[in-house]
Amino acid sequence: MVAHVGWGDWIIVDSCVGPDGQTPVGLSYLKRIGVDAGKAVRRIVATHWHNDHVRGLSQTVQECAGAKFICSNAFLTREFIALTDLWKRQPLAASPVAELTGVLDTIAQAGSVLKGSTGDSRLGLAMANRCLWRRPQTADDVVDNSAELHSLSPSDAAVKISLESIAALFPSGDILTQPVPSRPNLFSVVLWLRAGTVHCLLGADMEEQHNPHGGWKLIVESTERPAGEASLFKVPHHGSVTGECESVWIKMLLANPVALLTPFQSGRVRLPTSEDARRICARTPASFITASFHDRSSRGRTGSVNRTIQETVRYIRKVNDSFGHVRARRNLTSLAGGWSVATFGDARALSELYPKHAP
Amino acid sequence: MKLNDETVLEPLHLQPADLSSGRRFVREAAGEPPEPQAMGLTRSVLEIRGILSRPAAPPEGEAGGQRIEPGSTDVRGLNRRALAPEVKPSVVWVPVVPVSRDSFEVLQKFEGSVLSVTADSFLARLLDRTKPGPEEEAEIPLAEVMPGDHGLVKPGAVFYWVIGYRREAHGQLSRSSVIRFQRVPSWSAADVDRAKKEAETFLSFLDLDRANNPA
Amino acid sequence: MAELKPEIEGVSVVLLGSLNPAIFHPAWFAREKLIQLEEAERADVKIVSPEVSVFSIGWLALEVTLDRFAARTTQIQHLEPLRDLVLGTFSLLRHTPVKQMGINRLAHFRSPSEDEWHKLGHRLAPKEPWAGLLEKPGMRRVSMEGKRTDQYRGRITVSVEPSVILKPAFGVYFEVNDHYDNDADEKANECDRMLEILRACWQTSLDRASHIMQTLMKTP
Repeated sequence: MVAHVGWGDWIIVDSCVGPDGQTPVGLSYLKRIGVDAGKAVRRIVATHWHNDHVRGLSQTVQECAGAKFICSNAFLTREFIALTDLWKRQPLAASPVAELTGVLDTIAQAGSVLKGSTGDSRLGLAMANRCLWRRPQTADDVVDNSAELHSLSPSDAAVKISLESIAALFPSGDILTQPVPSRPNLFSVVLWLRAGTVHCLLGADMEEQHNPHGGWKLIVESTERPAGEASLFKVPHHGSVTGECESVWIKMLLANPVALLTPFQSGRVRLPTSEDARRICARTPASFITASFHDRSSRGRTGSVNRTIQETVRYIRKVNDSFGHVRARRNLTSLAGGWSVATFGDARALSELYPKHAP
Repeated sequence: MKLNDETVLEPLHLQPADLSSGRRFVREAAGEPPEPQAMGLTRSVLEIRGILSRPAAPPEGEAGGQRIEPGSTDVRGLNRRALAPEVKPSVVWVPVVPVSRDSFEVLQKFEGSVLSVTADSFLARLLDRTKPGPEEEAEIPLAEVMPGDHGLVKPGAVFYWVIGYRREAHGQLSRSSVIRFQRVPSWSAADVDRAKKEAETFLSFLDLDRANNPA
Repeated sequence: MAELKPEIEGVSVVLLGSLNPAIFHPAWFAREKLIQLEEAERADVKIVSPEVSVFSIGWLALEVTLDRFAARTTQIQHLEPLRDLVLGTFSLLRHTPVKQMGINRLAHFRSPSEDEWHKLGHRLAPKEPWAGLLEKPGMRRVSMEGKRTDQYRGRITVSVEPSVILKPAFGVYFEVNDHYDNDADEKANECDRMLEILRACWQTSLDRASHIMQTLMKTP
């Protein structure tokens, strides 16, 4: 997600690549609209390390030379860094932590992250109820042009639990295997973004599993989180029921916020399910999704190869074959007016994802 | 290890230099012909008679030892450096594994990683190593995996999938699909300890106090 | 121009150092899960002794002497498993002193015609200097050595000779030896360094060898 918080300041949250599998989408969008990413991006936040949230991140951090990189302090642990180092020495298969390794290498080269250096560090750590960035009100400006970015998670306890899950990423068998993400994801970084009087809640992949150490309830009930109600909500965990928490809608969001989400498809699993879509559409009619579901396989292979593939597999499909983006805009200089939303590519209203079940 | 040799059994004289190509420098000490039976070599596999191990000295008057290829009479002894005194080469009779006349023409290569496993199939992400492009996902029956690799089919496991034509020695051509799992030993406890120590060193240089005040 | 397909090809990895051949039995490889148990059980073991070990398991031919480890495959659908086997073996035996390594690509090509076959020979070994000295001179083998242009120590050697296997057709046999000398400093582990080079250079080495062969075969 890329957010312009007004007055030329941009924030990037997570990263993905386009259908070519190479180009970071956030960077290419900024280039397309003429934004100098090296100067305009203030913060790049990695909400967690799952592959679908970090592809292209290292290139993004490298090119946005003026931005501070923010991550959960679970990443800056001995275990996680050891893991990146071990995988770096094992380039037989695509390293599952290649992006974060690239990010660590980039920020390590920045002298500002070292002890004894001066100036703004390129590294920031996210924790519950921490301010990650602030733009103060300009004294001679009539409108409120201040802005802030806060992390609402992870909690101290969630970080401790996440350390256990990182330890589990080390292969336990005799043969090297890639680590498989564990769930639930308690150390995902949830963000609260304020630009003037407009608030946005960015839910990352946070789930609610009635765990007292992490999850949405802990965030909602925190007395230290920033005040206000958001008019834009990035729905967590691809709209799945595990990311659903009613008290978020009641206590942290305005009525009928703009809700944005991304789909997830792997094997037979598709998120959001049709029930998820119905549930979210019932909460707010202004729900949008960045892409739909496709099952197309790659083209451009010879007949013999295609025949052999079809004879071998039960199915094969391109990942990230459906692609699009949702743009939500509103005027920060005027209290009147709301969000105007446009969809591009395969993005659409959530009600159109499963048309038969549209409310 | 030459692929262009019809002999099955050849004496192997090890020399320190230039052997990474697999070229064999065959050395016959003067006056000691090879075993008579070895001269009547056929393509069938012969049992090893024994291993000869003796230090060999360059013949007098020669710059270095003789180099003789099996079945040939040419001598390249005038273009050899003398062996360093500390080298004590041995002559070892080694059977050569016959070269298979089967060939394989690779049409497509994937590298995959297992996402999940069911009773009779697994879900995998595939990277096209022939013509890089978008990632793909496939459900593959376990029956497509060699029985010897079934124990490796676990989430996170990496495999190679090669598709092509197999041509047998007599010319028979057939389409072939081979899925083979990667077998690289996991990191040792020492590897992990070393990496953790280096990580600690890395962290010790970072100003985490400032990182904890990112605003 | 379309790439020429070799009739027979193979890749071998050769490590020179100080070895104990007696270790290298198929059962050891299976126990360490470097090969399938079934492959080990069906292995064709020629010899395993303190001085030499030789066996094959279908796709792999292994030969180990006191100072040389050589693993070869002529089934190129198993190139990555070959590399993995070498990496895996010496990850486990990481205290083996390894001084040199060769990544070797070997191939037999069939010339389109006798005329093309002779042309290649004339090109690599011109006959004019031999006029009057030899009757009907013919190329037996040409070896050329080149310096490395990367950051590693070593050399690249290309050998070309008539194929004795592709008979009666006019075949050409190539050997490209990509030779690396270990450049580990005193504090570093030699074996680790050589494996690092193998990982880093594997694909480049094979691609370069293929390019050399294709270029020599196709040049008019």
